[in-house]
Amino acid sequence: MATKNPFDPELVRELAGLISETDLTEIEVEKGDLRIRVARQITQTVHVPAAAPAPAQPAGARVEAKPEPAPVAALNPKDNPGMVPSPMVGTAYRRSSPDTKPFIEIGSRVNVGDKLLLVEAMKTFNDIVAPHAGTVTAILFEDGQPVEYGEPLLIIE
Amino acid sequence: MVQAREGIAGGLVHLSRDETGSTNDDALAELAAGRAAPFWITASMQKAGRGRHGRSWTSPPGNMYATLALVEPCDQRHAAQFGYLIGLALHDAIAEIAPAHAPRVRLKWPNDVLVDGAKIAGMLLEGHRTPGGRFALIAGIGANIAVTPDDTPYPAARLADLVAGVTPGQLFDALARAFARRFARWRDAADETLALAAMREDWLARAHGLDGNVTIRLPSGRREGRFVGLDGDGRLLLLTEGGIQTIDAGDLYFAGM
Repeated sequence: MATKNPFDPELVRELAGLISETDLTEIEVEKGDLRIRVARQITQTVHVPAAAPAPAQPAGARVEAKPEPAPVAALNPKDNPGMVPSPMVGTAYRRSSPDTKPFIEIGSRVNVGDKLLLVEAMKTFNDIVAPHAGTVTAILFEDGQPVEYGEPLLIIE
Repeated sequence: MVQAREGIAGGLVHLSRDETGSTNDDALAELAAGRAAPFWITASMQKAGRGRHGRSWTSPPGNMYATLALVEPCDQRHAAQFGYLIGLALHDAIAEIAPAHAPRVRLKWPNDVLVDGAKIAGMLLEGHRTPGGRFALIAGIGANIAVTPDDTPYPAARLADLVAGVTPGQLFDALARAFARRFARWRDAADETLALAAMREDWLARAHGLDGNVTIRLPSGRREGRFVGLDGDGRLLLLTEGGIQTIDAGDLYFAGM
């Protein structure tokens, strides 16, 4: 990783442009060893616990850009009927183990009962499944982040 | 799946197999096939025993591999209480079999059992949804009886060093009875918050390293502080220089060990 610099500012700029032209909140692309995720917050009222640690990121492998939040489309996720709340306190994981793919991505189509994420509390691993069918339009937590009871986890519309 | 023998343990249905992939997976398959919970499943050995985050749990013959399947024993919000409840039942069971050594047996947050600081038993609890959408709690419990695994990153212990000739079946039988007693008491509480409050004193009285300095290893890094108790959701209370923090996940290490 130290010998080559996979960071491609042009690609990030292109993705950031694309994200602001569309209603997407997150774009992730893979090109060889390089994976770039560009995300923006759809609202500034997303509740993040004070103790939320910064997500660990391998240097250079993952780039996040957060352009200004869209002023018009701002909607408190708590008021969104498609919001999936955390059924418990715990730590939220997007994948079953560190080296597997996330259960869902932005844009994933899900059916009732499909696995969305895991919440670990005191070594109890809870599958959080889709309460309704639809498309995942927002993921409101970072992998490995502590979540509170009732905290919005994602939106399925 | 090999046909299981059916029996009764601690008043619950008990399915036993000689060998299997994972007793937790078997429990899920039984639920999917329509078996009514609660029930126990045990196996003499597992070929694909699982631990936390996809880690494997070495499962040779001679040790105890048991899974308890419960359907909607409580709201999913309180599922983690069963880690404490089963931990206490395991402590009761080991203390019954090896009464002279009971003071050496301690509970490690959140749900391991130690003898003189070395791990003798652990569990993996999984909350799932049945095909009908009901909340199912699958509690896998592994205990070293005859064999001390040599591939663990922590010191390990076995029950045979406390009581010569003890069998996995003896520990399982004591565990199933102890769970039945603890579960009955837990259900007597007016609500889950009071149930945890009643159990917390018992658990803390057997806790390893209470009031001592600990390090918690989290995905995001390490936290250091003093282990001062459990909160109303069962989270560990860590007293740090910046105040009390609540910890719900992570690996716990004790100072000087």
